[in-house]
Amino acid sequence: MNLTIRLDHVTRRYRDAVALDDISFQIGTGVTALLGPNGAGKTTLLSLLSTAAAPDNGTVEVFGHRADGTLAERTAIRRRLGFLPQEVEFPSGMTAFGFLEYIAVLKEWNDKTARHREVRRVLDAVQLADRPTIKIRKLSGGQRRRLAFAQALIGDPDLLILDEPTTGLDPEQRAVFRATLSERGRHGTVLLATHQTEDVGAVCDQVLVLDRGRVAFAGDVPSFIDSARGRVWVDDAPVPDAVASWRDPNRRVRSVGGEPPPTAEPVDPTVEDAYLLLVGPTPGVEVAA
Amino acid sequence: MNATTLTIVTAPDRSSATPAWLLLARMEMIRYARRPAFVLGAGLTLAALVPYLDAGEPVDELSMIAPAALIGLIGITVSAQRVWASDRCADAAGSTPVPMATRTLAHLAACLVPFGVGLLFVAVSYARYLTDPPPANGYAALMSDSWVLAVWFALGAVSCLGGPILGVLIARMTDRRAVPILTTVGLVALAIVFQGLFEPLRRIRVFVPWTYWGGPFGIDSDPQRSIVLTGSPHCWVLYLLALCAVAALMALRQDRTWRSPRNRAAFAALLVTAVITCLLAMWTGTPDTIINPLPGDETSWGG
Repeated sequence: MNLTIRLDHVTRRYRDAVALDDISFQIGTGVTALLGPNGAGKTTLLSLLSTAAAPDNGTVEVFGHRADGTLAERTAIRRRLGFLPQEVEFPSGMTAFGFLEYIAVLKEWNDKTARHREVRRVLDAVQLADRPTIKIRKLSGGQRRRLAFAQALIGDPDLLILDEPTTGLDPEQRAVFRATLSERGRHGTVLLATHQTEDVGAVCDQVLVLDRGRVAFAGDVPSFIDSARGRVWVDDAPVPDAVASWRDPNRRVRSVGGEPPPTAEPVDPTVEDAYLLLVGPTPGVEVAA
Repeated sequence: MNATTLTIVTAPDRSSATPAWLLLARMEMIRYARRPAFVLGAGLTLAALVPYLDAGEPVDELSMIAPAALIGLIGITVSAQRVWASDRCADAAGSTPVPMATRTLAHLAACLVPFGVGLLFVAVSYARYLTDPPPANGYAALMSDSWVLAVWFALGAVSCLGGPILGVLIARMTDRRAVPILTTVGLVALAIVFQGLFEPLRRIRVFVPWTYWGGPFGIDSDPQRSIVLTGSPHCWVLYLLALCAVAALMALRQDRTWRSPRNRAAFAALLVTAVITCLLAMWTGTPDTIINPLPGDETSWGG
């Protein structure tokens, strides 16, 4: 595994709140999922990795460069980085091509011919090649999300950081998106922050779970799933002290955690089961029978 | 999305002869020139020149208000919106190798577009002024050609530069969309209050951009009398240009990477220059207010 990211005892505070609390981990080539409930510190971590913010303590290294180092070091990271924020506010009045061309210039694609070729390539990669001159405001939500993803692909970066990339994509687009990520994970590093646990099982090699600013789990996907083995059951009624219970497609109740009654049958766990056992149900999301 | 096309990429050509800031400047200049508010303002401003195409028509002494208002004041909002639009692009990409200061520099370069239109307006007006002098009872007839040129250059051209630069600065300091408009309204109010019509405020009027240096103001309710106010418009031009440079550097310094000791020294030097030229604009040049014609001098204006 080629090492891409290394964090060593990193702490980041916002006034009195600790967003990241003395965390250390390493990420190499492949697709790594970043999971965690809201407020776990995921966005802060992505800000540090994208050189947009600096840690209060500890070191953040990307490709061997300090993410909080000199301008030259940060620029060296940025030249190999593609970043998709969770929310993108597009400029009004711009076309899809104009938007991507502007960002290509910001990514130092100074030669016009090469820049235009690269913009057309990423438009094609997100299946917007037939709509280059359309105003962004006329694109649908899913098309805008794909356009935002396209800008992250400019220059085929060695490190791709994606924050909730599949939000707003329909099932077909999500399937193609997974194929794209799998392809990219073979020769580069992808860090995928998501709440879509099915995406994790489909495309990710590694999982990093943050909870209240600390690393709750770091390892490969099978190990993560195995951590829930023997703690997931189906029955006709929910397990009383389960972390979460819900009705499955077979009209039976799936329960994660707790003490199962004698009638409960153990089943194979999923990424979602392991996640729920680790951090509990996501606040604000109702998981019930 | 097509996964099979992702790996065939050539690296960006960073050794290109055209640096990123120049590319961005060119893009921002084109985008500024295409903004409907600018196109409308510039069109109306240039339309104000049409009467001067008639050889017998002298230049209106107050015509410089057209570029100042229609290009300079509107430029505050146009510029701010351009900066915010480019910020949204940069935010969408997270962190990019080209820093914020480079984008700011490109936006400052784009301010040359409105400045160019204002300069064209002044050049045409001044050419007509030389070939067809203004009436003898006008304020311009009392002063030298360089005095007239300095006043017109400041009012007609520098205002078209200063307004858009102020817009860049505002956008760099806040993302509140109402600030450029409120600033414009505030500047208009200040210009009216400090233009020199109110005698107690004449000494401090030179602090205010786009104020007047003279005109047919109507002294003592007499609309046919003209006035020339005190001070040096030559130094005032330098003062306004120094203010533009201060604002530009302040905008650039919003990017922390620009806060080097050398830039700090340049900023301090510009501030000192602005203060000195401001004081010189107030205390040199025309020592007393001139009213033309003087009350009772009916022969020079009664015709």
